[in-house]
Amino acid sequence: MGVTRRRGRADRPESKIRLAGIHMVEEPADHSVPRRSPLRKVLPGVFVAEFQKLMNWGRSNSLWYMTFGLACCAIEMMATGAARWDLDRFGSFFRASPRQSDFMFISGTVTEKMAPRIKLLYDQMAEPKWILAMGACACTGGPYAGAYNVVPGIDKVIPVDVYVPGCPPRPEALLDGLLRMQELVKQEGLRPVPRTAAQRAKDNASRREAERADVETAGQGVGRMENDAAVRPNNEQPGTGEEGVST
Amino acid sequence: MTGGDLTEKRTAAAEAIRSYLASSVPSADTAVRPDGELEVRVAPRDLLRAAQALAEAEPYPLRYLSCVSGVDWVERGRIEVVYSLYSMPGPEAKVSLRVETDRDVARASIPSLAGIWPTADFHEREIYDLLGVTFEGHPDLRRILLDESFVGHPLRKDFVDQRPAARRVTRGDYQA
Ligand code: SF4
Repeated sequence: MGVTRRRGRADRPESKIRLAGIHMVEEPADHSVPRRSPLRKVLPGVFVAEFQKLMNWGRSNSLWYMTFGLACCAIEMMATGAARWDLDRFGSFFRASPRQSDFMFISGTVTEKMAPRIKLLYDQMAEPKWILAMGACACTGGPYAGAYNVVPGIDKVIPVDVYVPGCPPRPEALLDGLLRMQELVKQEGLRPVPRTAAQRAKDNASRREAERADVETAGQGVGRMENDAAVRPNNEQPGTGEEGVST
Repeated sequence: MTGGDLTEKRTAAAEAIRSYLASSVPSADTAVRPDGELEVRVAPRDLLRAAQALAEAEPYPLRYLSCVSGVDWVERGRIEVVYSLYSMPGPEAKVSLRVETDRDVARASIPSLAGIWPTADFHEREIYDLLGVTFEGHPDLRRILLDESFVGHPLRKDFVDQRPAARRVTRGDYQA
């Protein structure tokens, strides 16, 4: 897991760089590189990293999202994308095609007429892909839950990774959701985790159940933010050696 | 133009339109309201003739159809369709043309006015979609807001959501 960088310059032995889980240290402080491995004798200026981590680091910092807005929340999403809050600084850009998108903000009220179209767009996105449900409407139907044509939560149609409640959520909340999504992406395996839509929907359902119990005990919706923008359960521990490929 | 002036001019225009209409569609039930609006009630079979007469009414042809609304009178078992008409420019004579039909979906039917006012096209589709009134002679009578697969007409007062239970949310779901 460690990254060894033996610097050619003896004058700065204390150099130490830490970057998104990729550690560049003087000595391999890491047991994942066997003592006799030739990797111990790396050349000056050569980085050794766990490929999975490197890839996830790259992925999580270039999450491109689809140009796709549904209702009033989309206006707030555009504001978040524009200069004042500037989603670009997290490496996220609007893409005009699902083929180029890593994730999608479901930003607004989902109607029964729109739901199949969203499903189609979701299916057109290449794996790995993530979904962020933005706003009360996308999470649960919000103020329109119970209306004849409103889907009570986009997770009835496609699996959701991060929920950001609010009507609409402030751009800060949306950015927080994006950062949590980056956390998820960093936990992704090199090989795609075979999580079927059904499995993911089940995860979502059990999490909702837990949240509901939480809200009940709290007696109000306070603390929903933490619960709702929840990181999905990670069914693999990175760095156990099974998953990652050590180079 | 102050409010009083407008009401006076509207009332005068309404009277003129009323007498014009009485000559061509004597069966129309007309009344001038205090604000100068002319209310015209006709039976579905007279609707086309009345609409044609209003669109050509002298000296205030009502060429502007601003809105078509549907009203569900569930107790009376009737559905009413209201056409809001204006003459422009000028004193802006205002007419509401009202027609009632049966509430039963199979029999709720009135002639389409899309041939007289093209605006009626989308408005009538909306009323067909949400209230289930058939407009005879409409060029393209399809649902306009809801999906083609939708069952029922949701703005009817006795509408029942027939979606699967997972898609329905009731008040009880929010109570702990
Ligand atoms: S959550 Fe509020 S702001 Fe967002 S789409 Fe729904 S109604 Fe609009």
